[in-house]
Amino acid sequence: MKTRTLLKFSLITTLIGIYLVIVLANNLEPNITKISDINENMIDEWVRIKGDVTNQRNINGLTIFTVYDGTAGIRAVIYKDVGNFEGAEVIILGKIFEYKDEIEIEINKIEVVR
Amino acid sequence: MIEYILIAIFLGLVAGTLTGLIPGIHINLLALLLFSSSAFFLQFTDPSILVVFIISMAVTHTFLDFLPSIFLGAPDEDTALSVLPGHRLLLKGKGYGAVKLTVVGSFFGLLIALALAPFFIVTLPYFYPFLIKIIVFLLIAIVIFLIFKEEKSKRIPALFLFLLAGILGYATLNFPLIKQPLFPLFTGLFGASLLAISIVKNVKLPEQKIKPIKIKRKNILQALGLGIFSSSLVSFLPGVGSSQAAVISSGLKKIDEKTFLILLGAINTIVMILSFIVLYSVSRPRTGIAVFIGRFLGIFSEQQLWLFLAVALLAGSLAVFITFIFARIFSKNIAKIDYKKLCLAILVFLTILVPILSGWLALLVFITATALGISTSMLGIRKMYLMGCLILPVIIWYLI
Repeated sequence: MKTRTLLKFSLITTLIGIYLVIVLANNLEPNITKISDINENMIDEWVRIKGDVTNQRNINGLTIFTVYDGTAGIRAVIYKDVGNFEGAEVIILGKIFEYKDEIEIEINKIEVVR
Repeated sequence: MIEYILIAIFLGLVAGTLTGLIPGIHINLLALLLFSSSAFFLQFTDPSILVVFIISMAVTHTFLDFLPSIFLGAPDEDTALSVLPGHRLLLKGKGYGAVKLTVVGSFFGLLIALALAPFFIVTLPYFYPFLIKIIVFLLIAIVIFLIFKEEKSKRIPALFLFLLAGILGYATLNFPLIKQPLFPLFTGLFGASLLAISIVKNVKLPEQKIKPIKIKRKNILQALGLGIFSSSLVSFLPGVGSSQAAVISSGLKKIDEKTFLILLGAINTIVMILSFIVLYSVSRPRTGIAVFIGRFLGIFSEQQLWLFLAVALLAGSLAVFITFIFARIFSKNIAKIDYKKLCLAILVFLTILVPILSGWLALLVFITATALGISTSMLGIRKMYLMGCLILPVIIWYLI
């Protein structure tokens, strides 16, 4: 194969590939996980949870609250001031991490169900 | 106690040799597997013996890691930049010498990191707040500097490829359905792309000479100096590691490819050792291995730290010989094998491994990354710019 043909082919593949990765990354989400199923082997993994928000606090641009889904609760954290979700039922997409021996979720996306 | 420690070191050497030799396997992946099987191991022994095993394995891995990268063109994210200089030397029949250079770097890097350990324990915590403020600007400045040092005709393509790699990296790291996102990314960008080119161009390997490559003492010292400096910049911070240290070093000083291999060996081992020290002095884990040590032991004493560093020294010294033995075996046999078929076999192996480790969707990332790697080679641009896949996300992460 000639260098030019290979270059054209690889560049086109790259551009189409990047476009697809961006579109899929923004639209495909994991199924909802029960909070009681989350454990320390899932650190750094993405999960989606659904539950009710309680104990919301906003400290220095950091928002923390607890989400309960009937099976268990988990603390959720986002590094900015978001609106008030207290009492709302939400779906959260985020990454699991460990802070001071506790499993928490870092919020990437949050939507209010009701 | 001592016999348990020695057995743990021995088992760590065996495990680290195996994982180092398997193409594309990063040490973090291993730590993850280990953690899920830790309950099983803890039936037989206590946590600190298990940690001795992990450290011995991790240090051995950082030595052996360069073999698949240089001989087979199948790196992981820590050895990615060694593929091209390593491959060039392999094509000249100097694969053994290339591995030896990385071993020189790894071993002396280990010694320096251990010698400076007391200094780091005392001083690094003070630098932390300062480093976290400057690292992102340092990375931006170095990338701009590297691009401006290129010939005029190469500046735009280099920037373009850096950004493409960055966008691909950012999207992949934020792709919820892909596990171990760095695996398809790095194997594609740096490994599979080289293998594919070797297959298309029908590359033939010459007979390999088993002799060291001559290098001036000045160059070794230069590599070690740069290695320890850049590793200590990244070791304290989240999200940056060996690959950023390598990019920072090459921005600071122009070095030839042999010195570069020593530098990469040094960085790979120093970052690992410093991560133990950082874990001890500020309780922040900065490598996958440190995360697991932290979880097994919680807070550990200075005495334990010194035990772990001694284990690293012993394991590292033995790993030197193990690496030489395998480099010899690879050198003697690689010219006998049909290289095209070997490349094809590794490419197939990696393509099977990607969906197993990272999920089916990761194949899309793998193919895209491979195509981007091939484009970079075809345009004659240095693969260093593909490190944009980690640098751009770090810049975005620190700035937003």
